[in-house]
Amino acid sequence: MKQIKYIFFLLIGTLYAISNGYAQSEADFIRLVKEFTYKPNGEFEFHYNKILKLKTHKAFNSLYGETFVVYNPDFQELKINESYTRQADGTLIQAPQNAFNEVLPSTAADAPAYNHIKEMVITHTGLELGATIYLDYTLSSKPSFLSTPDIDEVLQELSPVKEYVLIVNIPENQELHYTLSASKVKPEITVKEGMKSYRWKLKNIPAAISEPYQSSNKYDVPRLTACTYTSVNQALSLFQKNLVLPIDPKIKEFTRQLVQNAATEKDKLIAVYEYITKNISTIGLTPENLAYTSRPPFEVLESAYGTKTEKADLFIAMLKSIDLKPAYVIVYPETLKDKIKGIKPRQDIFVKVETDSQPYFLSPDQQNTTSLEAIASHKEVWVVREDQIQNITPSNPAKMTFNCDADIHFTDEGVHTSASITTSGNTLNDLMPAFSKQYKSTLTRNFGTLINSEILHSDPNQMEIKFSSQNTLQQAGDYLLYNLPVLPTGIHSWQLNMLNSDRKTALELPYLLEENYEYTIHLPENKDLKNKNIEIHLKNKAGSVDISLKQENKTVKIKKNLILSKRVYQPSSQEYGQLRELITSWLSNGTEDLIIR
Amino acid sequence: MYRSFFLFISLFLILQTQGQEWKKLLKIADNQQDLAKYDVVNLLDSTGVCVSDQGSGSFTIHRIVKIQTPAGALKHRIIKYDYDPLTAFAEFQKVKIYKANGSTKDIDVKTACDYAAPARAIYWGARQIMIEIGRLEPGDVVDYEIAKKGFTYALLASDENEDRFVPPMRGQFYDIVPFWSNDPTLTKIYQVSIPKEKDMQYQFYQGECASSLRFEGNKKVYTFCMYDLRPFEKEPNMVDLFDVAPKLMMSTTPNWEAKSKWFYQVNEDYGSFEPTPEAQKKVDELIKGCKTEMEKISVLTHWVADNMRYSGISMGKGEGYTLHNTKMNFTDRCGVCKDKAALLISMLRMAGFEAYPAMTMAGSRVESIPADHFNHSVAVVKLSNGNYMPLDPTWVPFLRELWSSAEQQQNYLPGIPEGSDLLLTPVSAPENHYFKINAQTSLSPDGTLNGKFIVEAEGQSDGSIRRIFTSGFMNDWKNALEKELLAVSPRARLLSVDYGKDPKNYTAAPIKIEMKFSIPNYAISGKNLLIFKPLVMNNLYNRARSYLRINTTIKERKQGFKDACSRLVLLEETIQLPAGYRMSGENRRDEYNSKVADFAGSLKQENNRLKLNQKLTLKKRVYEAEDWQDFRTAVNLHKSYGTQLIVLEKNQK
Repeated sequence: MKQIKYIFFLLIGTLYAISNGYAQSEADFIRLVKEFTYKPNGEFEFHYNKILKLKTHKAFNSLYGETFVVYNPDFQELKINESYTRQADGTLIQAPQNAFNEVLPSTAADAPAYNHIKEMVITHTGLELGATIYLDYTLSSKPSFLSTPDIDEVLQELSPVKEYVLIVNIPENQELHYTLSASKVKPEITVKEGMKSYRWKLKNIPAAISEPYQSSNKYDVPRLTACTYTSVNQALSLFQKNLVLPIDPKIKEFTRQLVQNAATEKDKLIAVYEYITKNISTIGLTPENLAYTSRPPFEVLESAYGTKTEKADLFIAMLKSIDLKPAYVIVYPETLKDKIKGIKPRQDIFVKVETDSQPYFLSPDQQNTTSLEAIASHKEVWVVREDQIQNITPSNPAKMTFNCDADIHFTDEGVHTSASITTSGNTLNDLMPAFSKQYKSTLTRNFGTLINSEILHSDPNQMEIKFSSQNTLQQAGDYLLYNLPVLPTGIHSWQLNMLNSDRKTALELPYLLEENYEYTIHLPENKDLKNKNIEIHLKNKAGSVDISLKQENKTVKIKKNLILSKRVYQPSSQEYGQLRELITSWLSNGTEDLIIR
Repeated sequence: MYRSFFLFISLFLILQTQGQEWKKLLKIADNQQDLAKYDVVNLLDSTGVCVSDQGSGSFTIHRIVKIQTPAGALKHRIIKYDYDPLTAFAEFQKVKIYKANGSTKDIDVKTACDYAAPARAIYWGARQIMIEIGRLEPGDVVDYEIAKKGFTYALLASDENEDRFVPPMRGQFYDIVPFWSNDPTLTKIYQVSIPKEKDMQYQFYQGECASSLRFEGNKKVYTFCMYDLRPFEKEPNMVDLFDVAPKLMMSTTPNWEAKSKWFYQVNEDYGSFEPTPEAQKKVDELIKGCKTEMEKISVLTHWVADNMRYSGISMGKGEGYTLHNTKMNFTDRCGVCKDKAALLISMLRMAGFEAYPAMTMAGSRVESIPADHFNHSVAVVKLSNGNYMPLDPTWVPFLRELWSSAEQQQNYLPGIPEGSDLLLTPVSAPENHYFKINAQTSLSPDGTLNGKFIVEAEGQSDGSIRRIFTSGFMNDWKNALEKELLAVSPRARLLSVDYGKDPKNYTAAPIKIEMKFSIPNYAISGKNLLIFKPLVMNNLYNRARSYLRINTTIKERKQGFKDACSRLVLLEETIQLPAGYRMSGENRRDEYNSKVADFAGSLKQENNRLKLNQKLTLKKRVYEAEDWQDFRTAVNLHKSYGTQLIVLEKNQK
């Protein structure tokens, strides 16, 4: 009986380990410890400790050969407490002195103002199959903006973690607001010598998985956010001070000259946006690397580079100088909705500005046709104005609709198409004229050489293009093949043609989608369509697909409709499988190629 | 030509002393309409070198750049320059901006940064100097000078500061000067003065330049000049620019043998290959049971390749050109190519072989002028028949080769005691890199394709197929294999896969994977009609078919071109047809033979089966321009079996 129980529990343990990926892991973190200590005098100390066992060549050849620590020597000091390898036979290899090399982090490249930032490269020597890496270091920070506890840790690594310990120590008189999402582990809280300590211990965290279109919210991954701010408003007030600063006269003058030929307010906005996105390089340093400080906007302008936050600051200063009223837009993951959090967990920053009562949400980093609906879907969005900090929720989810109405004639010269394509939705705006030009060029690939075209914007959220084009047919024996053109935008731009049958993480689409096609194909008198009539109707929780192909005399009518009614699809439910079913039906249904003879 | 050159140089030198050369050059640039489309124009690209008796060089680099577009302005908002502090020194001498509005701005050179450059894989402390130019506008001109002293590679130098600039072969000087640019260049000048008693050989390749040799005091002054350069016209998949674009090679070293002997001696003197007890123990363990010399060489090469990872930490003085010793290599278990080569040489010697280091140039040709045009280090081992065999432990991790055939037709220089001339690795026979798919498929009337296929590969093809297992995450293997089928159709279903017990064990046998699958809607289905592409020609395992990444729609080529490797592609598919269906159109047979590529293919119907056979033989890795038509013809014939769709009609009787 005992033996049976033993075998049973052994089996359960093995299955559990396999399900957690241990049997298939390149390496295992035996232990990983991160300790954050905020001292009463404003000093901050980060202590890191890992014990990592390597099981495959990939582990030491490409994953864990080095550890990189970025720090700012202006206010931080790094101390390596221990670094050694225990080889498979027990031999200890201490890291030699030349295994510690300081370089400039690539995120600070080409940024003279930040040339002092360091990246310590810790090379782990003596690595082999079965070796274990031991590393322990402390990063101490002088009193600065980092003095305010503001933690955001996603508790997942490329390999499984057997024991993950997080400790936050703050002065006893402070209160820590914390959230540990996707885990039920509660902290052990102790008080000693004037310091309050919160300790979380999580076990058996599976390895991170890389799959296409993963949700940035990381729904199933434990994430600890913690801060001593009493509200999000308090944390975000940091941005407000930039909004009340007087405008630098040099920025005012520069912007005045930049927009002098702009006829309307919107044209001025476009000119400034073009400048910010095309004439200022973006540096990848994080605000934490810089203790949440930024250079003055004029310095950013004159140097022609900036971090994303610095570019947002400059963008705001330039917009203010042309009498627009910009605001910062800070985006947090949905998993932290309604929780007290600091600045660190933010995912993105935008600038909001209105012209002609039309709001635009613009990334300072790259030209982006986006809207509140697009950035707020499955996120939490805060708008920071001079006098107000507000959480906003769009009334509608991000959605796009694409309609294509095409009249197609087969002639001796090939295929002549007259079509009208309407793109509408709340992620589209008319701010960027370049968008229209780019769209035209992508149409040629699918519809053939454009003979003429006209682009209309009937309102900011709708674009219509009418065009005619000429294309060729492919010969297949005695038959002619016509590849039915599809829109280069929408689902075909997402490249979802290789979705695996099995998925482990949530899939997030850019927006809700509806695509409608109506093709009317006119056959010449001496030709017939050889395709069979088709009727496909699929409907499930992910949406629907309706496709029909009918021939009546010399006219063929093809109708296609796709609706994707969700943005986020969880693998654990059947949602992903249903989405995959819809997408594969849409991409491969028998209407892709028409056969004519 | 001579008179124009002399006049031009004289004018240039006169103007330079007056600091106004940029205005004249700007006027010349403004008068050339075709330059307007470029982001920047280099008005002047000048390098002057003064070589000392010990061979160290003092360089003055002078550039004048005209900014023409916002993109060009952004590219030049900083200027940076790389150097190795162990053996060189660099600083900005002058930086000026001549604004489009007529004003001049001097940038204080003291504001330049000097720092350890961003790094990955090699952590030797390479540095950069950088100066901020800031916001520029089209029409601005940037004029700067950099002074540099020293070299790229190090030597076992003394402590004295100046000696660190002395090149590896004391007293010798060499330089490799590209005379091409990605931006149009009005004037490119390279001038070097060497002590009169030194002899220097040089050659200007793949182009023409104006050149002169003058005696000035106790110096010889060589000057080379080209003007009105346009960006070199590139072609897809072309050979390296060093192989086809104008370049200058110069060296005071008499021949490659001298270099070879030096390379041998410098590492022996350092003791790079001295044995250690720990390494000897590992060698004894590895070669235990090996019966032949090739077995021993193979097991040692693969062990170093797979188990000494590529990550270079500095040995300090001597880094760059000196191979790390056995103790450092075996303990650290990491290093760059030269260190991996060193450990292999050391282990081979411990196993009783004669082995030495070698230098090579991965990616382009090495010329007969013995300039140090190498970027990689490998090993050679002496076989019992007296021949030297090259080995590359850096390029063969998890490969069934000892010398990577991605380096066939590549120059290398062994550092052996008797000296060696430059050698060339041979072409590797295509059969060494076969890629085979054998498929048995069956098509249903509704267009569904069911069946199985076996993919087998060897050599470089084996490496490509096996990479999912050797480099991918284990928990992603199934998805990665499924993706090979999804590349054919999003509806494809992987029913089963067999890749053997241990697909990571590349030494056991060539890779062999069997898959069973089902693909609904595979064929275009019409009324009594099916049209489709054979599975083996439909995006299946394209990862191993590097020739598909060469654009064969180009009709003519001016330059040589490269594939990843020579290769033999063997595809067979037997397609069971649905009852009553026959292929419309004739059976097909094609054959093409040439010196560089062969093709033999057929498609025929036998009863209710279609049989497809393909044999594509690509015989080289690096091809000449004149090989293009043969290569293109063979590959296009092969591709046509995929682009010309198969039409099946149902017998209406």
